[in-house]
Amino acid sequence: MNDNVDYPGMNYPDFTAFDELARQVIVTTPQLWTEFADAPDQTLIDRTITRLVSPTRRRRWSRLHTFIAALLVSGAVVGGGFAAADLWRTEPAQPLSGMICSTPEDSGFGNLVYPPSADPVAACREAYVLLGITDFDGVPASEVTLTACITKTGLTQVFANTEDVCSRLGLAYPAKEQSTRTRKLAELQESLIEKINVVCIDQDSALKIAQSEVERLKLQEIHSFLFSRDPVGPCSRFIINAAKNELGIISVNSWTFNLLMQRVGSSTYLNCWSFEITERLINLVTDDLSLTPLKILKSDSPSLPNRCTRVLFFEMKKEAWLFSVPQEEIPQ
Amino acid sequence: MKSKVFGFITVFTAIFLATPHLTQAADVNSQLADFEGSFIDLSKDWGEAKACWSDGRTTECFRTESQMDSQIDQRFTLKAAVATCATSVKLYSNTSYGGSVMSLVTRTVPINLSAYGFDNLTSSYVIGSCSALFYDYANNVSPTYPGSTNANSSAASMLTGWDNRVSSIYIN
Repeated sequence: MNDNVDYPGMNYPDFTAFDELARQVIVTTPQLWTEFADAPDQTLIDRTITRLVSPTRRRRWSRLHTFIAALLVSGAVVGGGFAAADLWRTEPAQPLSGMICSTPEDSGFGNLVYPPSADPVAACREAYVLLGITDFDGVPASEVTLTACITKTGLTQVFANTEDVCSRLGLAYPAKEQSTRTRKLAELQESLIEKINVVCIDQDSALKIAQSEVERLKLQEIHSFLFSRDPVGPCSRFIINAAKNELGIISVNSWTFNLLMQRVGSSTYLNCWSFEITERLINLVTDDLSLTPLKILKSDSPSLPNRCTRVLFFEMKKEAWLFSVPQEEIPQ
Repeated sequence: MKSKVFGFITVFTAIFLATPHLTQAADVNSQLADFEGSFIDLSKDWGEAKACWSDGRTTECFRTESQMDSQIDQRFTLKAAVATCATSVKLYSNTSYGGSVMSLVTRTVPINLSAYGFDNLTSSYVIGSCSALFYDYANNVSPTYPGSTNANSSAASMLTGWDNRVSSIYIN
């Protein structure tokens, strides 16, 4: 074939029409993509790409390039033709979500979720020491061969296995170097833990801090927002979703108020208290924790027989709402 | 040959049939990689490339792993800035500490259990030396579990209405 020949009759209608047509073709003819995946020919692909990127159509290059990549991805998925024998590295999809350290089956730890690290193997060894995991089937934990892989869900998981475990499982190896973006995200997370999570500030202030840090680190693609305008409590936490470029601020109760909720909650879930006893319990615990006394609201008549009290707490309103549930809901 | 011709026709046709959906797929998977100034299709043939690296957006390949390492000059170690607890929070999928178990030690950040395949599965738990909070929804969105999750507490079953319900936790 002559590589310089353009194709007569080839016109370029608007991409919207192509998009819909393509969708229909791909959906209705999956076998076509399978066939392509089974018939790799790099030279042919290269020629085709080169031919179609003529100077007059240069603006299409990005789109075509991307689309062909997509086609190949689709083909690889369908045909399963991934070159597993070579070294394929990537970053985790959610670099801040932490990672999984595999543990010995009889250790009782199951999958151990550990903070993210650029050196997952070293971090897991540290975890084993921290948690007293001494050996893997007789091999000391400090000497067992550990290999990090990127799972299909994008998490880093460290296996107590030989270096080829990732390729055997069809997984990627983690990138040895982290991208500038990941480095910045890690710095952002570190900064916001100190400025938001471990202190107690309201969500509006937390949002301003988050936006300021995003700007400082030049992470313009990160969108900061409040999960809800109405705060649940006086403190805040942040959530970074690296895949979606989102930084959400949530409102939470203060730690002391959580203690109140747990003490009263445990008691009322395990016992059948009247409204009066529950009210006294709330006042006692509130006083013990040096919290501001709550306004106690009773939602229905306490005189109903065979009913037990439950409580809803609202820290911002300084209120506790009492209501009753049938006694059979209380475990015996 | 027939197969190659068919493949060519497929490519040729595909060029006209760009879709936003597939374009997005390409961005995510980035199987087309830059290798010494030209693009190679990693899903088909790595050619002379032996080591490739991707940040999820761009992909680059090298002849050797050491070449790959030396080419990337942004050496950076992600600090374990997030503190860990000396003993873990253990979540069990069955009551009485049975079934699958997952251990968590990461402190001061909300942990979404769905990321680890443990969303709405907790039926019993053991808290280590750091107190924790369990939440009904992801991202530490209330309501919070009303039972005790103080340091060193445990429960062989969840309080009424909370079996298989915890979606996120926070270790203090």
